[in-house]
Amino acid sequence: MSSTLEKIVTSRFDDSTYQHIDAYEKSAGYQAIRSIVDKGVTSEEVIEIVKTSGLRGRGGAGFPCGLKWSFVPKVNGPKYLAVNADEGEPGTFKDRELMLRDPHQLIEGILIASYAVGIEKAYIYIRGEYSAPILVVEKALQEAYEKGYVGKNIFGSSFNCNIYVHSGAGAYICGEETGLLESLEGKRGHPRLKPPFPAVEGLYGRPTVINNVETLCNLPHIINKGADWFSQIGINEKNSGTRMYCVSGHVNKPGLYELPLGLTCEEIIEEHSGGIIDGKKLKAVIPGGASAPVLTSKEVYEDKIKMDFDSLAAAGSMGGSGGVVVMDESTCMVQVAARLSRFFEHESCGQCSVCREGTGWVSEIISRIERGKGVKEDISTLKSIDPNMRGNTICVLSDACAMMFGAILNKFQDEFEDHINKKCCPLNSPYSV
Amino acid sequence: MSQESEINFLFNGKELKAKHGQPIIQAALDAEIHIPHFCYHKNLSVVGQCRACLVEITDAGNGKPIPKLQPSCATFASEGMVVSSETPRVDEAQKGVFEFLLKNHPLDCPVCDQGGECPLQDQTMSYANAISRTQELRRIFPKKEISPFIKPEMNRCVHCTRCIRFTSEIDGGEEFGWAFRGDKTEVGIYEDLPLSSIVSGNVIDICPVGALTDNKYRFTSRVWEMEHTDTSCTLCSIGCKQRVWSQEGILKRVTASENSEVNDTWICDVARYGWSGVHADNRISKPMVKVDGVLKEVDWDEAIQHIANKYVSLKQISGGVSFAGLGGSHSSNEVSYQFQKFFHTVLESDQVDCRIHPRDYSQTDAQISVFGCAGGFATLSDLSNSDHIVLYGSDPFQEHPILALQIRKAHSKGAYIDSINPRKIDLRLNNRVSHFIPLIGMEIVFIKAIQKIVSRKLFPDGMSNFSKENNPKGFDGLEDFLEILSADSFEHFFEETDMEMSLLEDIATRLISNKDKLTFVIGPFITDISLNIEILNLAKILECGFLYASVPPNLQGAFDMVVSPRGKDHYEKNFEVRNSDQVFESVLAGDISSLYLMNCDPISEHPNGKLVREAMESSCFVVVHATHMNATIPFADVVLPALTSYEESGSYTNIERRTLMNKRAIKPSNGLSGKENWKVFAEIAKAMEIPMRSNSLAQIQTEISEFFDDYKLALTSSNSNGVCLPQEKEGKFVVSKISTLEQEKKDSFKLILTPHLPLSGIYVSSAFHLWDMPDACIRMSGLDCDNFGILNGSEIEFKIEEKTLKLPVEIDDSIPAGLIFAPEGFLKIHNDSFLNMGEYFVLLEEKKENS
Repeated sequence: MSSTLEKIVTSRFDDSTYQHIDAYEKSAGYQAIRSIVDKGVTSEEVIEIVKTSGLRGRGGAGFPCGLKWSFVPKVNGPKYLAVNADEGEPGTFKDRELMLRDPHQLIEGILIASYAVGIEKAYIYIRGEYSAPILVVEKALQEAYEKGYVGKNIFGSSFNCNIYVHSGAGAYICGEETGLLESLEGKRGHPRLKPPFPAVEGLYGRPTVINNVETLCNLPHIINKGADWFSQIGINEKNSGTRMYCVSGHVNKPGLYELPLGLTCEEIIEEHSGGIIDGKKLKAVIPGGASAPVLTSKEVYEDKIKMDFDSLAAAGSMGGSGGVVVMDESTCMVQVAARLSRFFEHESCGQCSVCREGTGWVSEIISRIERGKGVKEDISTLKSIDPNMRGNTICVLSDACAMMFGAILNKFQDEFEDHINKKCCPLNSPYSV
Repeated sequence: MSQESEINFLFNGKELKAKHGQPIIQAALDAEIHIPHFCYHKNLSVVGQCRACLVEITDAGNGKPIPKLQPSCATFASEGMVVSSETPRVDEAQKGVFEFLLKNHPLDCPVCDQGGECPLQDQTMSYANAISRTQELRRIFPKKEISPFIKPEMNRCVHCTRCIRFTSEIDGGEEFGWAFRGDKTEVGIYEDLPLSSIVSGNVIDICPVGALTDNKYRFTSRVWEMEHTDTSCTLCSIGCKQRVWSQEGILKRVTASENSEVNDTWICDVARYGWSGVHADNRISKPMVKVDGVLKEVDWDEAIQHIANKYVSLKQISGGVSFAGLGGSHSSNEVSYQFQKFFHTVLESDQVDCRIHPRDYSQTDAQISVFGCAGGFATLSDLSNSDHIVLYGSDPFQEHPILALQIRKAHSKGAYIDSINPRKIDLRLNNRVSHFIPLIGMEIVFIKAIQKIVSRKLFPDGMSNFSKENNPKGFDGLEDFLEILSADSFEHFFEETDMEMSLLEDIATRLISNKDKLTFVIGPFITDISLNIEILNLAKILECGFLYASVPPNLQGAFDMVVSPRGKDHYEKNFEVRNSDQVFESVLAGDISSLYLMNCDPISEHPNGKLVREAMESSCFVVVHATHMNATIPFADVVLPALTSYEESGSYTNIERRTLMNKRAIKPSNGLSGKENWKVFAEIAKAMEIPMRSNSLAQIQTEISEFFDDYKLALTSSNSNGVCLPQEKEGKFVVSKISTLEQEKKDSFKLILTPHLPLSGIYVSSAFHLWDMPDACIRMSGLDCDNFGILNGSEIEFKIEEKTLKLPVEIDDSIPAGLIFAPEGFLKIHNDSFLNMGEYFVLLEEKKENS
């Protein structure tokens, strides 16, 4: 079944020559931007095409891309595009491959977005640890500049667009869009109070669009093949196109799978990722990166939850970043919660009291339970901390932490109780927290 | 104007009003409804970080609720909004936030100085759960030293970042920042960067917990054991509102109080620690009379009788002309009034003047020549709302720190700042600021050149389009002024300086385009009256406001009280009146045989110390009425102890001509046989058997109100922000001659002494808490230091006139080559005998020293 599914953004992944502009151009590369520039398609028309396609942001929140662009006010003066390539969500590795294997696809996507919104400066904010993708994208940019596809008077038109690569410095929070803008401006990566939203007042106080790498990579294909073609893929017009699922954990074939939206989680695990290792039973799946609440085995196999944006949201989880972490029956869920809350504690920027102290407190309590030092009250304490950490902060890092441990605690409360009663980890987990 | 209309909204069911762009929390606080908060501060930017002020908005003014709770500090009130801070949801969220805030707080309230005035403690009692559920160890930060004045206890920090925002937004020093992330986040100052700002102490006041504590006050008292008095500071001429705390007659500390028209909520460290001068060892505690060349302590009656006897006999021999009185600019208006009244009516002398330093009489006299009166031509609010500020000879962070903050406030709202000064002053601004450094001696040419460009732009057709009807008051003499200006040529000026004509064109364009919101600040660097007049002529053609940043705290008030030659007009006398230089010359010549020095120290305050000393050494009868043992006391025949403004109430008038009431915080402390300064004059008069009414401060104030119309309003007002007394600008254009460039002696440096608030006079110099401020030193340009092999911080021998002094040198690249800067009052600390050499400008030969 998998061989018949259409690949969009990963269609050039098999051949390493696509890193270079010649091969990219031979496979219809830069045709999309060339055609809209040559034909003089208006920016409104481009936005309309993207709106019709139903393309939603692939970074985490799944916000409709065309709608986001249309929020940018038509004002004089600079506007910016910030490309969010700060792929830090645990379990996610799709943007890395998109940049490594097909950097020109991203550059073309950036050009289309910039054309649509009237942007002349784009910054690709790449996670600092991604040293290889940074080199590849820089090389590709150099090639595109040499050809005149990026820079001044692109394709002989009045369209100018300069693209710059900016390396992050290892902070997860800089993947939050306003934290990213602060970091781009040379400041500490502190998410900003909203409103004003970045579309109105973003980078250097100017209207700014922030798009994920995968989102932008879809654009050349939508322009080339049409919005209707794109909207046909997936299960409905609101969940159209494909997603890159980064499958990791206890499966036989972990890896990156580009699949249409609307497949069930079961299909992804069993049919595409080769099923659970050693024929063990599934315990839980994180469907969209560390922030996405876990799904239980029952939700996967009995409820047959689909992996599109709206189905996951209806199930109380989220599509998130596409990081699918599969955990079999040998996994200690307390340890998972402890490890992930350690991650959020470490990555909290520290400005809001709720998140600064909350993530640390949660991490301390869960780690203590895992070490066998938990007390009965810990569970009720955790349950009362959970709602206080949701919706009360500047950004959603605190919410993400609460969603993560809240779901694990609710769905696997017996494991927490076991730890407390037995004063040790019943699964005898080999990892210390 | 929609900007000015008020917004009506419902808060907890109560109708509230808010201004446009005002956050909900401020509207609520203004209506005395408390919303818990830590990071929010009305004078700092909004960050919405503490999350304590969350409110529920059930109607955003459009009929729709906002689903999430909103921080009321970061949400603007809008028409028809329905807000609540008392719903179960808000209550739950508040409890959560407080639990998080307290999670790592040490709860060491019993030993914390903040206890009793701690927003964390108080708000926890009101809004939080009483039970702590944490078992975890609390966060511990390594102990650090940040300044002699501020002791950090960062384990108590709740990360409100007010200190960070204060230093970056208000003071501009950017010393505070945060390091690390998550619950390891640590607020502190950057390494190797000690907190040295002169307004740094404000972070103690704004810290909502005991994380930044006052090192001088620490562990000396508890808040509830002290009394406090809100009063105005009298240590410089700004008059910030402050709160003076005392316990059993001993001053304990000073904190900032709010005067939204003067100092917002800030005070400088000189105000914060200057009170220690009250309890200094060198306070004069008892009257003294010189017997056989030695000052002996006597009681008040004896001292007063001694003065009276001497005055009676002197008056009989030579009449009123033999008396001269100096001082008043460091005293209250009431004392000044009594001082001049005593001279005019009892001694029958007109020779009384509050202006000791030549720059003081140059400033006031220039204003009178050009505008017909002195002071009242702009307010600090005008300044902070200006679009363009020109600082001439003013270095506000050194002289009047709060003035600097008001200038920075204007800048933060978009104002452009031009500074004209012999060095590149530091306002901690990176943009929209220009520095002009005219050569010494060329300043007047510089101003004339600007006048010429400005008048050419303002009156392109000469006077023809300037009708007499539109002629503003006081524009007499404009025609002559313009004519002379057009005839002058400034080419030689540009040949001799590096300055380009285009830069002057730029400043002139800025002056004209911001004419309506333009304020001049004229500082103490300018001593020359012609230069003062030319700056005022420029202000006059531009019709802009200006502030004279005068050095003595109450120069304006004392001048208004006619402690000046103007007194003779009020008393219809006809003596010839001398300025302070002439007074000392007359003493030397024997024309004046008695000096009364009211809270002044001419030996260290007058630049011509040599002349003053010679005058003092002559056979003059000298009465020194002072708070501390100062340099003039050895020459006194009678010494009278004066009370400080902390011990005596009275009104002061600041540089805006705003009259501020100063309230006594303590009674004169132990061992000090205090007598109110205003009482002394009437008692001397009584001993001379000449009646002079003064039963009470109120009676003197009534008399002042009768004597000076405009003061009636100020002295009877209940406005705790003080009342500004503007004056009508009149006068005429005064044409002064362009003085030629002073010939510089080659191979020598020019020493420039500039006022420095922490060294301003004996009172502040005696404030022992301030001795921890960085040591004063000689400052030279890096270029000069390189050329002569001088290392930063080394002690170098300077030959100044006939004397050789070894002084510490600091490299300061804001100073042009060839100039050396030192603070006024600095040299006397290092070498008392050098005082008399204190020419304002001293030619100086450097001595080469190889390192």
